[in-house]
Amino acid sequence: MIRHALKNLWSRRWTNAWLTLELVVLTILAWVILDPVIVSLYDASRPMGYPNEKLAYFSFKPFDKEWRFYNPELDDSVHFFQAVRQIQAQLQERPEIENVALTYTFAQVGTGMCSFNNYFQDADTIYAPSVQYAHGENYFQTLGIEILYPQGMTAEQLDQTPVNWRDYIITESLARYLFGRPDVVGRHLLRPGYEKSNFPPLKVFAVIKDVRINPAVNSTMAVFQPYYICFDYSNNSYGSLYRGQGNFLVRFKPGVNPDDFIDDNRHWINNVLHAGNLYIYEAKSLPRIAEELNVDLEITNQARIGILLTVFFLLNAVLGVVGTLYLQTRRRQREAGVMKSFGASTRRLATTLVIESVILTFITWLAGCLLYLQYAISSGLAESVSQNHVPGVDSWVSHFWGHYALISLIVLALLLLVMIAGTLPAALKISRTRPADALADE
Amino acid sequence: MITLKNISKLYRTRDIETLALQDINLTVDRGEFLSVMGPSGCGKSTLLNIMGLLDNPSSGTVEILGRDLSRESDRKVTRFRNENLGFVFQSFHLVGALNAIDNVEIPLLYRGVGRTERRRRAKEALDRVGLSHRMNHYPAQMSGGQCQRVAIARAIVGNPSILLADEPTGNLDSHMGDEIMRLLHELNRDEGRTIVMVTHNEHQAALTSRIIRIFDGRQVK
Repeated sequence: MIRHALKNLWSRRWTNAWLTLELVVLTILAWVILDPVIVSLYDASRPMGYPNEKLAYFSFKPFDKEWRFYNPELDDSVHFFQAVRQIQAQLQERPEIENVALTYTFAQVGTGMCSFNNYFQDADTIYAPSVQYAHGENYFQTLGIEILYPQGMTAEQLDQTPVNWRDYIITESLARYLFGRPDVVGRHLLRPGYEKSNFPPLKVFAVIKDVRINPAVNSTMAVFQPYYICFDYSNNSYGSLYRGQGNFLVRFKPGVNPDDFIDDNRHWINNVLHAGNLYIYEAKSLPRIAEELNVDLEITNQARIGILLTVFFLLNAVLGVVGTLYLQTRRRQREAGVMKSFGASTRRLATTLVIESVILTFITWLAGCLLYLQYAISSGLAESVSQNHVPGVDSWVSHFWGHYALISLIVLALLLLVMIAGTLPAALKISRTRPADALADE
Repeated sequence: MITLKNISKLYRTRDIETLALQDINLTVDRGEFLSVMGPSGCGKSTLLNIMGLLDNPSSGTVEILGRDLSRESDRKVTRFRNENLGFVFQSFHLVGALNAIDNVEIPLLYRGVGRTERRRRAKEALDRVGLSHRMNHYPAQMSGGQCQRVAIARAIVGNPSILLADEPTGNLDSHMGDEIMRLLHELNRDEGRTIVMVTHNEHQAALTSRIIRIFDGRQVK
């Protein structure tokens, strides 16, 4: 049957020339549109490393001095400390909430904001993102991150073990990048310029499972810098909550949607959740923050445009190529009638026509992919979004031939779908037509 | 060999019903060369299609070689047609994209005959009709008479016992028509094939063993 189909295709090579050209162009267009869309979708689907769907930031700050709620008698570090803890307690008392951790507003997981510092080991230097967190405030327990090394240490234990500012916590991928392996607790973390200073060297205190601190980028390399909260907000010393502003990282219990909680309890958040001169000025879930970040970075727009283009392109493919295939197949009704007269079964006829389409698909797909390969070798394939050139997670996206093979297969699947959609209905129709009807002379 | 009993054929569209055949009773014996004659639109081709199992009657029974296939599956009917019937059409109906020998091989292809055997038998059939020197030519490269001879080769390559020819000389000039008729008579006389032929040509019909006439869907004397 395959040989028969090949013979038919060869004998119709000039008739099929235009269709062949259309399919080659379709293959190339599919590559151009699908490659970045699939890479974006893959990146978006990758796990964050923490359950961001359960987390939200409740951000607090002091009333402006002009506001009527501002009480100058409460404007000192002691009352500030009390107010922070009161708000924290109010949150913790809610039955929907599992954990509350006090942390900073700057350089937080899930916000896209972080600082960058150079770290190096031997010849490798990396400009890695850093997160500042408040140690001793149940941070890792609330975030829900797994501790890899020291082995056996829990998040709760990590939160409660005393550290100093030189004790850094790094992700597994950063440990592998700098040291070649993950079990590097106690190893020194070098920063340019530090070796000449009087500062004691930085040390890896713990290694945690990979997290994506910026939801918009692919990288899981990060450094967590611990600070002890300082409630002297009148100055900007290390650990202080700058200008009295801070975040509560809130983890909700299973089954509770943070966005729903925030929306349903808007009145409570705005009017009840305050203490001293502090109030909650913003409450947002981490998924919502990620969504806004993607919009700000034009990622959402790019993805939407990409998806719109894909849908538009697919519709045109379905209408254009499928229509051509359908008409071409229908034109073979008389031939089908002849074949049936001489013993071709309905199934065999339809199968032969579909096999012809499939073979033609393979040939044109191969041609289109080889043509696109020339472009891909010179200009590269689609890449994950990265920030400050921090290496992304090693995946098929960054391996040229793996990436090329995967997208090629997806393009092939799309082409086969189009071809079969165009050929099969017509093939079934003409193969089921009675020979007398198919052969009826004009 | 072929027995038709009370065959009727009704074509129905949304607005019109056309009775193409009405109560046809007919028997074709082994080795007979039967002509079916009648004016255009009288139902001759419809009758031939029903005999050749290319169409189903609205009522009545068709027995070929002692078998009534009216209740059989399409697959069984197709296989029976492949093994026992050969068709020659007025418009030849050769597949334009295939050359002569590939066209002739078609019935054997669907019978599952191996490639070498297929090719051998197809060459034999082309040789029988005097066209082995044209086996690699395409229909567009051959004359009408040559195309019809290729069609006859295709019809006989599977060694069917019955040939059904629907105005085989209708699209040919008289000289080529005579050649085709000579070939059909040879197949009937020398190889004992039963032939049913639809024709307008009185002269050609007179040379066959029996003529039946159809008028307005009915058999007339």
